[in-house]
Amino acid sequence: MRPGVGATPLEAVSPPEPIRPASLKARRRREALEGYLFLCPALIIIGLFYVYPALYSFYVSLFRWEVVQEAFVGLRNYTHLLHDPDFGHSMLLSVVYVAGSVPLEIAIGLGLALLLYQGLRARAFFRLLYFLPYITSQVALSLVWGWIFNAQYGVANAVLRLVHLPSQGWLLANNGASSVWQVASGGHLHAPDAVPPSLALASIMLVTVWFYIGFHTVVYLSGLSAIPTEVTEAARIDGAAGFSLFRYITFPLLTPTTYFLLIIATIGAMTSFNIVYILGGGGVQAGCGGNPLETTKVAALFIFDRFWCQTELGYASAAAFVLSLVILALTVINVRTLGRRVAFAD
Amino acid sequence: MPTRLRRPLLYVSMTVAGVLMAFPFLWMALTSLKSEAEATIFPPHLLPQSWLFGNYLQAWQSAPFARYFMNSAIIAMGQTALGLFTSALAAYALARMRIPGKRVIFGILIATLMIPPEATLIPNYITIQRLHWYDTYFALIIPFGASVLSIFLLRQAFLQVPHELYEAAVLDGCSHARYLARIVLPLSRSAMAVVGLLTFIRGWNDFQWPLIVTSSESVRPVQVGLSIFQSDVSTQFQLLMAGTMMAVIPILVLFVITQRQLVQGISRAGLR
Amino acid sequence: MVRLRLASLGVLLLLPACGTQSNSSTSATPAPEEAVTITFWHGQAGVLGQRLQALVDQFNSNHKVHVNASFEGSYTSGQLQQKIVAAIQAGNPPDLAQVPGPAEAAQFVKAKAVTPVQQFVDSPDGFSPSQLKDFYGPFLDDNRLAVNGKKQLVSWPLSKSVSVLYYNPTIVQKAGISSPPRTWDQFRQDLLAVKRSTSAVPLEWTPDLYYFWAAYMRGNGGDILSGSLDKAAFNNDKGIAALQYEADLVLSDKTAVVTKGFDWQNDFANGKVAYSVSTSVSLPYIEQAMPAAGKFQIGEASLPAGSVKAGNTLFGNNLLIFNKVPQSHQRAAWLFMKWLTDTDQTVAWALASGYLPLRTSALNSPTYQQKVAADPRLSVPLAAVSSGAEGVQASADWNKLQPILNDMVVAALAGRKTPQQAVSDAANKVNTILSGY
Repeated sequence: MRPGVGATPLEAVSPPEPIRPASLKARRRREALEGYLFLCPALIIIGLFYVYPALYSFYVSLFRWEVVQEAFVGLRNYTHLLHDPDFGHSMLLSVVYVAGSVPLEIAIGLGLALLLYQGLRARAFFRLLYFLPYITSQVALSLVWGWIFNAQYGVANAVLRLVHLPSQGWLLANNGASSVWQVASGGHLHAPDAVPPSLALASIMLVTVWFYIGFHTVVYLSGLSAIPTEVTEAARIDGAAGFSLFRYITFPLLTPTTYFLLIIATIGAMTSFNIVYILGGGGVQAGCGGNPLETTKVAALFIFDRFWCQTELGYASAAAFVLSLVILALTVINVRTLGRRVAFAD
Repeated sequence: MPTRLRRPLLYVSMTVAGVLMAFPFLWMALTSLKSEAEATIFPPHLLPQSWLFGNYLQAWQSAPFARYFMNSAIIAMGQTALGLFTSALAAYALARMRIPGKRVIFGILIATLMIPPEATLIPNYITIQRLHWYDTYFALIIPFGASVLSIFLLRQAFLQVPHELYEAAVLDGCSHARYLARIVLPLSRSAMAVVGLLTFIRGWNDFQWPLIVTSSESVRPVQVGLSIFQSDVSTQFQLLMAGTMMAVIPILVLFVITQRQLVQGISRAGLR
Repeated sequence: MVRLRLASLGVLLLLPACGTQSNSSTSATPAPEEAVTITFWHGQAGVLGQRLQALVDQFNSNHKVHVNASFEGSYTSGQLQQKIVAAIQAGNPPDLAQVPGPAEAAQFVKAKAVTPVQQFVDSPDGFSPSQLKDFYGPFLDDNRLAVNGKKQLVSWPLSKSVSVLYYNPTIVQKAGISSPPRTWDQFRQDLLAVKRSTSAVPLEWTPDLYYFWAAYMRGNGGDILSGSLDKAAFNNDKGIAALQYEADLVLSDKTAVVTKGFDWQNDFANGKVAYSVSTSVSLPYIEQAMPAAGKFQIGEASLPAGSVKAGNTLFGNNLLIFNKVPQSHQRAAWLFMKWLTDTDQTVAWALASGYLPLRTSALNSPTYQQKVAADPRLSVPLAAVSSGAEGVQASADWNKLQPILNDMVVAALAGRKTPQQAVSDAANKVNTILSGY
């Protein structure tokens, strides 16, 4: 603060001197106030459109609430959820979905970002290509993928036919993805079919990865460009190059970005809806939500179905709340195991 | 690895990745030029038998798309501008200012990330109705005017700005606001561009929320407008693809324009 | 409101309301129309939405009542339902909305959000019993629900379609079949004949509980839920036999191929399939998907019959009036609904949409008769309706039961459960839900 402007009487009178405790406290208070002011716009919007709905949703979950509010049932919706095999199965599928897609997305995203950072020619063009899926409507592209994976006339089966492999049911295939390996390798091993992911879920995971690679690439590029060039220069002078440069300098300096992306991607994948909704349906004609196959019924679809098709708002709200808790648990795990390893440039 | 091999190998990798990433998109583009029957034939044809550019005209004329595009632009730009404003302020406060209860606020922000969108839909709808914002731009812009993701991304970028700069600024009598505006933001151009671009994309492609809070065509965005090509009995693939292609072009343009910002190294000239 | 009461006391008024001249045989002349603006939420996407809007515009141009119709999301994917439920939460429902069927109507009735149309049907604005007979009975039955113990008309039909059997005449002829199968046993034989004599896929379709487990079961006198809608009624030999039949076609006869969504349409359009099962509305879409070189005239027939009847299922959508809106709006909504289903309009909508005309007078109208003369297939769905088609049972829990029943069918057809096991598992789940938790 400039002395003399908006200052306390003490500061206005005395010439610049060692800071006295009283004015320090005032300054701190002013900074806190200013801080809250800075936070206000964001917090108001987030409070109104995220926090309040979450609280309201919890309120709803305490009632038997189909289309309209009925009786207060306390935690009965939650106990019912815990005994609901459908819900447990959905949560398992969500976790599998996340575990299978997130690390892959991030790894490929990092790889592509590094490629683009090499200063090769036409990198602007390739940057555009890698980012194309992310910027296009998920609805339309999911329909295209539904096409590609169509068991009857999709490109995927056409390709398989070219290399003399049997056609697969892809998005209709409830059998375990592992069984495909057996068939492809001509072996006679029998993998337990009930182990997720099914081929259908695996196909959806592939599409998900494809969609989000661009996002990770862009964020990593931003992270890469934030690495001070002096650091990499110094390392190069010391003789580091190629992989060791990456391993000892680049990647550690990127850990904040990786850490951030892991958390965001995990949360995003647990609540991911559009792609699974369009690809995971087993029969569009059969009405609301398209009745997902047993093996693609991730938690987000379960919740959508209970909300809008079965119209059990109370039960669905409880499911959403439980999903949030699971996401919280996953995030805490992420933070605990990876947070320690994050290195900051300063 | 010998440098001689390195470059070509990198080019090959980039190209392979490019093909894999772009292939469905290419398929979408080609399908937009096919006839309805051809779009669903098996075995699938790569190239259209006859290149029906008229599909684009037909798609355009199926609904007031000019209006829809304008709406999408207003909504996306509104969200981006508002979002950058609120997020930059909040990110700076969380990065550099001493605020009691910062941890609590952090916790609340992270917690909101974990709320599935289904849970917030109805309460937000009710809020919009109470505020009389239904079927207006306000309902489409304000709820997305702040994003925890943006705040965190910007905070990370702001943390990269060395603290010495701040100490120097304070000696010069600089307030937080001025420091943010004059020094931090310009140095974080890359991050601001990323956040702005991601916000714009999200706003442009949003479907679920605009569907729920709009009724009339005067505020309807493009993505909702495209759903006209999908009915309960069939999907007019070629028109839907044509419409989607048209909807992607503005984002492509935006991306190309902001490319420089995205990967520009931060000039550290002011420091050393 | 006062006017309506006076009218029902038999006070004659000078001006008859527009569009109700043909129905003035009730005891009193209806009150004049008030100039009211109402909101109508529908879920017709695409071209059908435009055609519906054309009808709305026509209504608006010569009526005092003004209808603001808007597309609010597809009514089959749950989007329209989403908006309606949210609007009810906010206390702000539209005046009039399209709903898929009795199940959704039942949900809204349970939520006490609906004004049953029976009161309007019984009013001077409505119909006499003889006039009501003009409507196809099954269509009206589809809209009857028990409200406070009394079964009455709650919603009003708008678009109706029925399940049908489609066939490729060329392939079928090659297999030596001269006419569509009358019974399920005949159908099975025909499929085997196609498999023997041709290289085509005998049957390809996207199965669910309607196509054709429910059809087979109902055809033999069974049903899904008990009459009081509180218990599963399919957990018996009728239900199991129906499922066994389908499973046999897919797994042992190997004459049937299962697909997803609308995929069967493309194979059928490309002349690779002999039979398929779908709704009467699919016809133009299959024809559209035909390649230029391979166009053929698709055959259409009722589903085969069981021992009692052909258990065809009704689909489509109905209209519903909400009760949190002013009385004048409700009446205006009824007047619009009535106009929309008047003979001329139902003919227009049927021809524009591919749904069925709702009244016999519509079928007999010169316009429609002309179309039937040009394409006799148009009379097939209506004949199927008249022979006893039913929609879903009006249980408020139906949307919770539907996925269970669909899973049952899929599990049996995929060979993962025996029909007996699948039916019994499904019945247990259904009963759990129906008994409330």
